[in-house]
Amino acid sequence: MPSLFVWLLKRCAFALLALFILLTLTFFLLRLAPGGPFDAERSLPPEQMAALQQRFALDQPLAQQYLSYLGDLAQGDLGPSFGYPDFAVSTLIMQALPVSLSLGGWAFALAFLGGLGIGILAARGRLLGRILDQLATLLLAVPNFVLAPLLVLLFALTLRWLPAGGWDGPFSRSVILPALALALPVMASIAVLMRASLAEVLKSEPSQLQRAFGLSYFAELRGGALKLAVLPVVAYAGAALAQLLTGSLVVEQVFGLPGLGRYFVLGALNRDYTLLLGVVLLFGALILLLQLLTDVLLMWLDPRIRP
Amino acid sequence: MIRYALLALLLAWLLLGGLLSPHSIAEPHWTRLFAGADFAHAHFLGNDAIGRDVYVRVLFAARVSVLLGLSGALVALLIGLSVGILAGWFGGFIDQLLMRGVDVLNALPLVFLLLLLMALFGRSLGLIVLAAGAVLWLDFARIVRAQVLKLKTLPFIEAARLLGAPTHRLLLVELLPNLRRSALAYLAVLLPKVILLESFLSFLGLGVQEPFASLGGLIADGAIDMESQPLLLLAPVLVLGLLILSVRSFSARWADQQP
Repeated sequence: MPSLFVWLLKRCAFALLALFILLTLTFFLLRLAPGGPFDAERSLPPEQMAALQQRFALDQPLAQQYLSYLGDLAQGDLGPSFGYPDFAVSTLIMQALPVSLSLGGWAFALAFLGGLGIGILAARGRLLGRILDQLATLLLAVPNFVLAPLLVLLFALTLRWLPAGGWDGPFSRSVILPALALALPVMASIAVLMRASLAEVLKSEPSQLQRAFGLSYFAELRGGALKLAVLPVVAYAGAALAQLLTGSLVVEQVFGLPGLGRYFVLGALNRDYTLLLGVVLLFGALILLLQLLTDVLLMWLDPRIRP
Repeated sequence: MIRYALLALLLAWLLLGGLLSPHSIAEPHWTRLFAGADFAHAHFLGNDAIGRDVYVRVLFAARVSVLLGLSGALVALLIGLSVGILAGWFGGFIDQLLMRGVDVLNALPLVFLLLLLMALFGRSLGLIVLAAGAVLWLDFARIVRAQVLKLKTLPFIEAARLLGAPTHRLLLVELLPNLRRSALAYLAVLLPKVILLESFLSFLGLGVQEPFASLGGLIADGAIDMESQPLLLLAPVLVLGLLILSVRSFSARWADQQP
């Protein structure tokens, strides 16, 4: 199908353009901000400061710096970190990426599977469903930064079932609490979304007809209701990822995890230009990639929106 | 009924809760570090890591959160109203330009941008309010635009126009009062959002700074010291939860009534 191919090409070009704009904005925003990466070492004699500036090419004109950053980037080089001068930004990111990726992966899976399950049960309207629905609505009012410390207080400090922090790898007990704290608010939004969408589908005439013929709830779900109802939830995936990324900043701080979220906050506070740009680039690429995947998945599920 | 009672109770506490306690926010009690509740000395929720009274700290933080929430929500309402009215009323090129702008902004992870702004350009209270408002006006602009599109076809606008009313009169005197109900209702939607956003920033240390504190800042402090004194975490969490639930119960009712 040539039109689909053209569409895909256009979307990729748009995503790359968005990423480029994001990068450029961040680059110049950073330079506009007061303070520089070496302000903490203010007591340095001026000639040493000048040497530092020269080493990181900060003495060149801004446009020159921007172009050389883009040039390095085109070759896959994110440059040296300003805050950790002995490390390249890509090394730092590669160290933190497995932690963030496995935490985010668990949370993403948990949020979608749990949210869909609760939404399906809740749309049926039985007692259990209604209780779950109320719980999900309540959970919507509880952000990550409240949930994470509360979970630690309950499960780590009071009951002593799970560790309160630290990182022992993606399949250890140490991942359970952070993944829960990260996933639960997203799970709640997905559950509420799925319940509303499924209830809408079940009210439609074909669905009522199926029920009139005596089809059971779960047979009806299999017979197309689920596929139709899941569309808004799939479309929500991009927003869910953004929510998880912001949540990870909080969760990594509470549990002391060596992930990317820490670098985002630290990089901005310490004016570690290259480190922050690297993390922004990665986050932006992740979100754009997921949005692209979501659109493709939606088209596969829903022939009505194919070009 | 419960909704009104809870809201009234919270408001009364925010306004009058200070009368219950003789302590001030910054006054340290060095003999009472991490102490539990002590009603004989009017420390209803105990004391924190340097002996400050937790009850008074939570009360003032709640006031800061609510005030910042209200001002941020007002900023968002104002921007949303202006953009929505301009786009809906004038239509054509202006409409296209503004609404495509809204689309583009909607696609960006704005919370990250906000975080970046706060980390880069200091953390003044004014900037927090402006930034929070600037992030959250998008949906309201759409709602206002849709309403203006509907309203401007109604006879009373036509009548005013025939009477020779200038455009600014049409917009401010005829159109604007008809948007007040949605504005008020959307305030209830925005308020918890701004409060949570600000608390999130404060939790990361990027929001309100000492000697002020907002609920998010207190929760961050409480999370560090919760092993010594769980009340430090539980008290601000409970107040924040009640605040959000209370306001949400009104906005949820409103959302149900929308067609």
